[in-house]
Amino acid sequence: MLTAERRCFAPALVAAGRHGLPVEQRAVVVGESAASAVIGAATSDRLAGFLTAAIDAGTVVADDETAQAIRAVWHESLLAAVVVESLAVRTATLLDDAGAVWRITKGPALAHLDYPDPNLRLFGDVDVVVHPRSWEVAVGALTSAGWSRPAAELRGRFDQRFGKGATLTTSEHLEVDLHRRFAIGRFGVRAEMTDVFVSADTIELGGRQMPVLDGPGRLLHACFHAALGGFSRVRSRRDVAQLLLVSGVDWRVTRRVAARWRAESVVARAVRDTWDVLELETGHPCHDWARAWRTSAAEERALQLFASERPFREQALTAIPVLPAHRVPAYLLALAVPDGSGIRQRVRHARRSMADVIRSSLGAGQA
Amino acid sequence: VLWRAVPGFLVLARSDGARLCIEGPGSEVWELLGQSTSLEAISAELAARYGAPVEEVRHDVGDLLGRLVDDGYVDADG
Repeated sequence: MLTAERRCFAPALVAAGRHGLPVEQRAVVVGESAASAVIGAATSDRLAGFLTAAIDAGTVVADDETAQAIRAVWHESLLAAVVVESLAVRTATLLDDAGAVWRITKGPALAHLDYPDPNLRLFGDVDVVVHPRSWEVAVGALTSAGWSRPAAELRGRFDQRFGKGATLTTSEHLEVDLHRRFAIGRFGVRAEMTDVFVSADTIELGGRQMPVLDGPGRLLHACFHAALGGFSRVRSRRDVAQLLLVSGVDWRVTRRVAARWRAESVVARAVRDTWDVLELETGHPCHDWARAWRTSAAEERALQLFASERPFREQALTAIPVLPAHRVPAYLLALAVPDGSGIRQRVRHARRSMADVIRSSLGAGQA
Repeated sequence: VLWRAVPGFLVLARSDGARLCIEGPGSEVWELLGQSTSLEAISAELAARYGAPVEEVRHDVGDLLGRLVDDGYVDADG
């Protein structure tokens, strides 16, 4: 079934997303009227590397001006990539000095381990998964170094008990995303994140060995990002395809962990969307499994909430039906009455907010 | 030093945040630097690739390497 989102992708972006995969490549011409939209989408979805490679290979045909504009975006993005990797090294030093246990995930990990040419896979921030026992230590290490946290924790220990994580910003306005979980809401809150710390792969950045999630862990995070991450359209699906069709990671391990987290529907959705968006004809047992997987109605509603990029609180409320009853009041309180500045003003509206939250949660889907 | 080199573009970043972008054949010099620290060897290879006089190439490569050393992206002792 074609989704509305799927139909929006320009053929050139799909061709870029397919470039280098073991599938038949199709020639696509970027017309003059589509050029600026393609350049814009390639920029925002960080596809300029794949698109340049596809142009160089003749899979995507564009006029010289368009090709040069895309190449210029790629070069700017490569500068961003080394700046981010430099930040990753600084982050690693701070976390190691504090004794935290962590793994690099997403951008640099995928670029260096899963793509034959790391220059193709672009990224704009550092993503680090922190072991549950190290969460407070890790956040403390980075804030002690003067890095700020623009979005404060909702309430004390919310991150540790329920949250996805925290974004820390350096004085140069560079961002490090610390992940306590892979998602907020029903698919994240039940995750036992120690599962992705059982083993690790490594990459070398600036002469330093950096631990990264192992293959099944990278696939699991890529699936969460593809199904729940929202803004990354083609690239996040390319990562899923790359891990399955090129890296050949053990997807059965990924599925087993997802099953323990009761998040198999996330993996299944990500894999099905990957085949749909990239128009893959190649068979794969993981795709066979994903097609056969039955997603419950409540899970489907939750997936749609994330896919349509609904606001944070709506996404967070999808956790209510799956939280133990004794944890629900604290969860709702954190969403309705966060800590921090302006608390007195917020309290005035707290009773009404709480009522809104409860009303919304009832509509967010019972299991 | 962190770096990315693609045809026609080289970007380098130091751990202190300093960065340097070089357009043109600098990326080839960087790649060859990974295989050889000899100015002569790098110049000879590039001269052969481009059919250019070795002396001319050696001058340009020497300028580039001098800058990379001065800016702390390359150790002078290799």
